[in-house]
Amino acid sequence: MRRREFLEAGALTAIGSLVTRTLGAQTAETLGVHTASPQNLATPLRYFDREITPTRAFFVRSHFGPPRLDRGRRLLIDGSVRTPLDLDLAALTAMPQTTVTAVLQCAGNGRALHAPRVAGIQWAHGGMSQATWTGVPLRDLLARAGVRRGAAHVELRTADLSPKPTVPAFLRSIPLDRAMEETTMVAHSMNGAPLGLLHGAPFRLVVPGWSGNHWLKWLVGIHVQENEAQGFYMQTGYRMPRAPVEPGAAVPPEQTVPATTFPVKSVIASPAGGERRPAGPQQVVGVAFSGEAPIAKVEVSVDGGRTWAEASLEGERSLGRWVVFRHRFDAAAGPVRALARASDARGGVQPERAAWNPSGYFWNAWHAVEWVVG
Amino acid sequence: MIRAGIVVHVFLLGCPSEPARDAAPRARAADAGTKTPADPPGRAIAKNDCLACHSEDLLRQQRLTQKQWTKTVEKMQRWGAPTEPEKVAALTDYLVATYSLQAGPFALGEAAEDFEAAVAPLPDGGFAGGNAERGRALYAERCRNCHGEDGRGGPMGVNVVDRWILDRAPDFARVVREGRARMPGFEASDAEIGHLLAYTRALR
Repeated sequence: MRRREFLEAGALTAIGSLVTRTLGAQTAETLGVHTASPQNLATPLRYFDREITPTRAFFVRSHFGPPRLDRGRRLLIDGSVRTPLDLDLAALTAMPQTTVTAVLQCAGNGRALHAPRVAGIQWAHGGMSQATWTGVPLRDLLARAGVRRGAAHVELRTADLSPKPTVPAFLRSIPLDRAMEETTMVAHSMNGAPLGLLHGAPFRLVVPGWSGNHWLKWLVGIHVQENEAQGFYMQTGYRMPRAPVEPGAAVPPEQTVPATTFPVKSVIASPAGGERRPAGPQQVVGVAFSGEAPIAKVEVSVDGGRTWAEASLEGERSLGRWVVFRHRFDAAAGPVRALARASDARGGVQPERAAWNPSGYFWNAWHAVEWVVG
Repeated sequence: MIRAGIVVHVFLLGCPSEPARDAAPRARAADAGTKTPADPPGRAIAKNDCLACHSEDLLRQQRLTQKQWTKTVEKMQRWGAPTEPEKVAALTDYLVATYSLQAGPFALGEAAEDFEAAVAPLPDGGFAGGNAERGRALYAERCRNCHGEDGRGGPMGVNVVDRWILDRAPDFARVVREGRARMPGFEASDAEIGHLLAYTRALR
C-alpha cells in the first residue's frame, strides 16, 4: 500500500474511535503528515511526556522544502561589520561551543483549534518539540565580525529557494538586541548529532523563546544592517494584532506587530483522549513552557476549573525550555476531564481561551483531555 | 521514499458540524488521480495548478469559507499559480465544495516513515557519469521553456536549482519521465537523465 492509502485507511478506522493502533509498530517513532511535500510533519501528542523529543519524532515545518544536503555550505557574516566572516562547519566547530535545551514551536501551532478557522497548515498540538541544540552563540560571531554603529537588525539568508521567482523568498530578520542574547546561536547539532537535512543541515538559527519562524534552517548568510528585512514574510506574514480582536475580524496591517515571543502554554500528553484507565490512581503528564520566562507552576483541575492542584515539575526551568509536569490523583469509575494551566515567572498565566488572530498564531488555551475510568 | 510507514494513530480535529461518514470517501475521491464521472472540472484544475508546489494534503486539511478560498486562490495567483482567469471560478467552487466546514473532521494520519532518509542523497547508480554540456542541450530543448533559463522557475515550471531531489537520481528520473502536475513526462534514457543531472546540479 502506498502511504496515502494508509492514511485513508487510518482515517476510516478513526471515525468513531479516536485512537487506533496496528500491531508491530509500537517501537517505531512516528510523525503526523500534514503535507508530504513540502515536508510539514507533526509530533504526536504522546511524545509530550518527556524533556527531549527524539529527533525522528521531532516536528518539521517547511515553506519550500530542503535544498541539497551540502555539509560544505559556508556561512557568510557581512553587511555592517568591520571584518566579514566566511565560515564553514570546521571553522564554526573550532570556536567555543554552547549547548541549550529549548522548545522549537511553530507560530501556527494550534491553528486548527482557533475558531473561526483560518488558512494555513492545520497544526493541532504537533507543531512543537524540544531538543538539545549545540553551536556557537551568535553574539560571539557578531563580536568577531565587529558590528558597526547604527546597525540594528540581522537579516537571515537561507539556501531554500522558493519554487518560482513570483513566490516570495523566506527571508527574515531579528533585531540586533535579540541576536546578542546569550542563548541565540548558530546550531550545527541537535540531540547530540549533526543536524539532519530536514532540520537545517548544516546550520540553523536557534532563538529560544521565539517562534520557529526565526529559527531559520539552511542558513548561509547573516547580514548586519540598519533596517529589518523586507518582504512578505516580514511585512505581511508572521504578524499578530497589536491588541485583542473579535474572532473573525479583519485586522489592518498597521495594527499588527511581528509574531515573536510565544506565550505561556501547557499540553497534556497522557492520558490520551478517549482512553480507558483502571479505577484507582490516575496520572496526568504533559509539558509546559513560556517564551517570556521560566515556568513557575502548572496546575491541574479535574472539576472543570473550580479547584486546581499544583503538579510536580521535572527538568531545569528556563526561558523557552519546557518542563515535564505530573499530577497524581485517585478517581472512581466514570468519565474524567482534566485541564492543565501553566504560569510563568513573569506572571503570565495560560488563559481559558486563546486570543483569536487572523493567521491563527500562538494558540495557548487550557488543554482539556477526557478519559474513562473503570 | 522508503515505505516503512504504518499508520498507528489518527486523531480528529473537532469540527462543529460533522457528517463524519462523508469525510473519508471524499478524501479518497480527491486522491484517486483518475477521472470519475463525478469529477468536477475544478478538481483537474487543482491537480494541474496547485500540486506543482505542494501536495494535495495541504488542500485536504483546510476548512475554509467561500471568502477565504477566494482570497487564497488570489494569493496563489499572485505567487505564480498558472490558473487561467476563466478557470478560477471552477477551481474556487471545487475547493469550497470539497474543503469547507461541511467536509467534516480532518483526520491527520501518522507514518513511521524515516522522513530524513527520504531526502538523503542516494548513489547515482545507472545515472552516474553525466555530461553537463550534453545536459545543457537537453535542458534547452525540453526544460528551459518552463523552468527558465536560470532554472529558477517561471510561469509554468518550478525552481530546479539546489533542490534535494538532485541528489536522488531515481526520484529525479521518475519526475522527468512521469511528469508532475502540469509537467508532462519525457522519454529519457538513463544516460540522458545523467546529463540533465550533471547540468542542473551545476546551476546556482
